[in-house]
Amino acid sequence: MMPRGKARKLLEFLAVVVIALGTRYVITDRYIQGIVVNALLLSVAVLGLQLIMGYAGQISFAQAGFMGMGAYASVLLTKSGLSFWLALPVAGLAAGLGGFLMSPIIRLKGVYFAMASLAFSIAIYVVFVNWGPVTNGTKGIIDIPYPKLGPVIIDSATSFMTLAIFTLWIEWKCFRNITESGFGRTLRAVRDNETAATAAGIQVNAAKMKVIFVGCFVAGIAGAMMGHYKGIVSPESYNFGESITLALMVLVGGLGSLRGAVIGAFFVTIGSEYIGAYAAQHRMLIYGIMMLLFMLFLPDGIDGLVRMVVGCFRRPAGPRQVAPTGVSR
Amino acid sequence: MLVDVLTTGISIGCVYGLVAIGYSLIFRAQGLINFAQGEMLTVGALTGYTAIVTLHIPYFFGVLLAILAGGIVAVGIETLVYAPIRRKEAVTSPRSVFATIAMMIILANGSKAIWGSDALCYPERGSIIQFGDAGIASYYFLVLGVTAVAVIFLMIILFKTKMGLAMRAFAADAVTASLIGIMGKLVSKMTAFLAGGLGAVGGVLLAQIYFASFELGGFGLKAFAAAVLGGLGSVPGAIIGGLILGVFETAVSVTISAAYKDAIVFAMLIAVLLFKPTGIFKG
Amino acid sequence: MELLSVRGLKKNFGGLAAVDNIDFGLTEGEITSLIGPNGAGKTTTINLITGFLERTSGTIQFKGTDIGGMPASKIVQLGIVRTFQISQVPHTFTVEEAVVLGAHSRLTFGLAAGLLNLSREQVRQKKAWQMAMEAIEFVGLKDKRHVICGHLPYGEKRMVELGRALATQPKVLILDEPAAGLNTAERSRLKQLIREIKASRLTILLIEHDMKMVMDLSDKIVVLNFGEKIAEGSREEIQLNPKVIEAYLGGGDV
Repeated sequence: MMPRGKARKLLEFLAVVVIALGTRYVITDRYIQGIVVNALLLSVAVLGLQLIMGYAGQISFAQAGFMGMGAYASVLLTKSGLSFWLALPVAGLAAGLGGFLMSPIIRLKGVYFAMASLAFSIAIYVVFVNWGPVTNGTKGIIDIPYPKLGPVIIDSATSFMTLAIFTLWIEWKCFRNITESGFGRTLRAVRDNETAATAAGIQVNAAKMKVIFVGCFVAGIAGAMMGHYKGIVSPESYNFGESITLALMVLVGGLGSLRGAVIGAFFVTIGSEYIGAYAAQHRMLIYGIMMLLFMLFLPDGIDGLVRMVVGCFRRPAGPRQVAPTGVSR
Repeated sequence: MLVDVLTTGISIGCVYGLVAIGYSLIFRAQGLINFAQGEMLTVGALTGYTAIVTLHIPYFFGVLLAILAGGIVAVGIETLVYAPIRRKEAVTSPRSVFATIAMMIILANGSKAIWGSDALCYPERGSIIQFGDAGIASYYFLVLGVTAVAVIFLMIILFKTKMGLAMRAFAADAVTASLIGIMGKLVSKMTAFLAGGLGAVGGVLLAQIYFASFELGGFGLKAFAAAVLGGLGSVPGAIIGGLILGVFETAVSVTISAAYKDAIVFAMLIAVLLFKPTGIFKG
Repeated sequence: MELLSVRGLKKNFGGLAAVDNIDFGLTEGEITSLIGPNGAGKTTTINLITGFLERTSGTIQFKGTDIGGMPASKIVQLGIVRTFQISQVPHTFTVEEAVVLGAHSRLTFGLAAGLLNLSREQVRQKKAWQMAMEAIEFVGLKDKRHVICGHLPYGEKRMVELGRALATQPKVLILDEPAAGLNTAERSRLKQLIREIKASRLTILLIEHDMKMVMDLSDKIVVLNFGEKIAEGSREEIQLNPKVIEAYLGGGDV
């Protein structure tokens, strides 16, 4: 008989395989499949942003720009013949290294970092628009080859759904590990009180840079996948407004919660469909109102709301339950 | 050429200065960086347009209405959004930061919803005054004059009225001030009103120079750079920072590149934040 | 043996010398107190020693090495740890999480190890928790170890910070006004704890306004006023020093 831990892991893996391959039979409507793929791929990027904002406490308005870096990198590499599976990690790396460009501003606090990331986002956009020979400017890049896995061509909403689910699961496991590890504690200390963290011997700026690298890396991956899914890569998809939307997803889901990142991505993506149907021209206004309402009344997002409701049913008072690694949930 | 750069630069600089004063006032009083402050330009410019152009209200009263609009919107935001959050959380927390950003988005896009996306022009004012070879449009002097009046007005309020004294006391030490009975809420509202009103004045002036539209918030963000340059929290610093930024930006746009001038301004902002975060004048 | 020494230390803010040419040293295993009226430059000196402020000139030597330009986190890793006048603890952490943070100065919790949950990550976590539990028990917060720091009263936040400092297994412990805001019972407990810390052969630098505590605990006292050192010596010498008396007219609790 297999040891319990191993058995559990195997079961989990099988469950993911079943979900990844089986969702297409549960969600059969083409249109809804498209929304789900969108939401899943955005979740990949939003989880990265959650790590940066919710765990390291750095407000970033540049995440969409890094998605763009990954998208352009992957698309250009595959168009020149490289396999998608090799281009993908390179795209992530490109975005992650792009994150290092933010290292001079890393010592800026809170609002100032946010402003600088905004400036950064605009700068990236300007490069995308003006670097014609590489990015083809505002016209964008089309005729993007689909990923191939042996005989299987990933070219439909259903196949991308499968790919996205696997990717999200891997990312989730990795991020869970990070947040529950000693490094996760480092991040939260940096977020809560940089002075306390420094006084405990933590190199705050180094920790921030590492997290930004990871957050940008996954943004690059998400951007790359989206690029191949949509079949077109153009600067408009990676501008400041898109970065704000990603930040909104983090807030709506709940700042500081990995679950919240995915919840927020789905909530806003689905909401965006309704907005598109009835009031497309007021999209940003509605996002702004959403942001305001959440900051006023639900600062911990949907995840916070759920935890509060569930908490009402748990036994009250007493010391909080703490997992062996010392992380309280 | 130089004359053009100076007149345009100083006029834009005046606008930046007015908005920057607002940023500094609020920062000094509450430690908050209010991103919605930049949008006061939009509010002022567009309500001014409605008053002056649509409703044919005489210019002077139209401007007053715009100032009132800016002040009221700012007070509204302070009362309904910022004050409640301030009760629960530090002004530097993500929640506060995103609240101000949300307001910025709402004001900009709300303006777009109400006034549309076209650039709305104010009627031509004044004429060209000749100085030897050079001709300067007289409304540049109007801009300078109105700005000076606004700043003097602010100084009178800050230094010659009881409310102004209360505001300064509060900015210096909020805890002690509230201990001797100065009502924090009233002071906060007054600060917001002044910041909003000044921003609105800037908006009307800006609209006179260029046009009124929901996009004016971009100038507002650059005004934040001016406030940082002059030292966040310092009123004279804000004005000087504004003037410097205005002239610098115009000079860059004329000599280096008009397209990249915003990028250069932002690069300057980041440089200031990194190397001299207290600005040129201590706040 | 002089473990830490400060020579000609100077810090200028604009035209003002907050710390002006200060010399003193910490003898290993002893409690040295740094006293002086408010604004004398005590906390500034601490900030300079621990790397939270950059000195204008002078040397700061630890075990013979100049630590003058080092970043604060590196100085902590070397073994010089401080607490703050207003206790700095991460407000969402539980007490035990906040204390175990101290172990981060001795053990490297890397990103890769955490991400892949390598065995060495688990080994380090175990070690860290051991170090933390000792510190938590020492400061007497064992029963409260699951409480969130943000919910703790003032005095207990102090203890959490002290616990974290001890969890770093320091060689030099610098306490910045640890008694401020504590009641009498808490103060005598603090005194007892400091004595026990000294007994485990740590070197302590204490900034305090509570003169009784200073006189009871200190092996050596250094007095600052207006950024300058005006006296140094045993408690008897300091109590009789006219310059000290003059500086303190109206100040301090005796």
